[in-house]
Amino acid sequence: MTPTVDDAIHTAMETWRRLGVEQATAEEMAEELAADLTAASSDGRSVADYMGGDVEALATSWADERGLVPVRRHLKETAVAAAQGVTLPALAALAFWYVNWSHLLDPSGTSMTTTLDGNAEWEIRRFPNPGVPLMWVGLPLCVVAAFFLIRRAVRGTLQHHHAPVIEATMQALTKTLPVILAAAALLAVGIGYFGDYLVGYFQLLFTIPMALAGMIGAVAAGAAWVRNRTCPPETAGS
Amino acid sequence: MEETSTPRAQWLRGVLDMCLLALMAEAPVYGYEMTVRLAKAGLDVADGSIYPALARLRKRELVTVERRSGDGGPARTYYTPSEAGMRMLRSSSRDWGEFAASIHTIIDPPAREES
Repeated sequence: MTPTVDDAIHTAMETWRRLGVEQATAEEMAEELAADLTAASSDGRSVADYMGGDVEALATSWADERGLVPVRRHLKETAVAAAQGVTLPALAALAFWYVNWSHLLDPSGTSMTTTLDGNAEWEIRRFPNPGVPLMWVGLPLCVVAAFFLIRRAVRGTLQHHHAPVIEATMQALTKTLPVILAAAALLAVGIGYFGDYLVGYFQLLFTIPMALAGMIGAVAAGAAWVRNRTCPPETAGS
Repeated sequence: MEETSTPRAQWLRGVLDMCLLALMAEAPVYGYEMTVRLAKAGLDVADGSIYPALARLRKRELVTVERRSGDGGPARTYYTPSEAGMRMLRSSSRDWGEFAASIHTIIDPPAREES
């Protein structure tokens, strides 16, 4: 069935609405199209004769060429990708901290012996806690792993969505990630101190989930911030 | 839009912006009128491709736009080249002339003409 002028205008308006073109601009373009289709109609030309059969594709191309289609910046996807990238290193960092904090590998201990006269004698054996060097080796490794995993996850996500301005985002992320990771680590340390001094007995129940959430949240927010700065919204048409 | 793949359609795609600027350089002109005048010159743009082209020119500020109310109908949008548009038209026309002359020497060399 040959579309009428009204059909074509309706399809074009619907397409522009779906693409996120501002209402006033869409109405202006629709009026231009309606005027031209009316002129073509009075010359005996149908809509299909004048502008081909695919009104939706024409409307899309028109809005795109005029720069009216809002650029999707994929901020949420960037944040989620960064969160996914940092989750494993953050868990590993907490594990290293826990091994140190809990003295899990510490061979130090006490033993009690009872002397012949019935007194108890305590022997305390102190050894260096191997969890300490393990933690100080493990934490930098976690940071390095997080750096590369976050970059890979963010790049992969932006490429998957065919997002614009990928290279600029990745360059900025590479420069900013050390600061973001340092901030995340400081936040986790702060949460640890908070848990130690204020929460007390339930420290572990508080510290581990809160530090994990804090580190992931800081990295996700930082990555989204970088993306926001390198890919500003572009919706303005002429 | 339908992908037109005839050689003429492909050539026109490369010079459509210049042709539109040339049409509107004479006097302000609206979309349908441009299509009609292109068709009279043997250049078929029946796929609506002038609208994305006009939008492109508008975005690059190569044209100025004026809306004039029709006789009770929807307002028509008239296009005129801006100063930058006129400069681009002159430059493109010169480039096209040289390009066409180059192509001509390849596909229709003097020796062939003589024989």
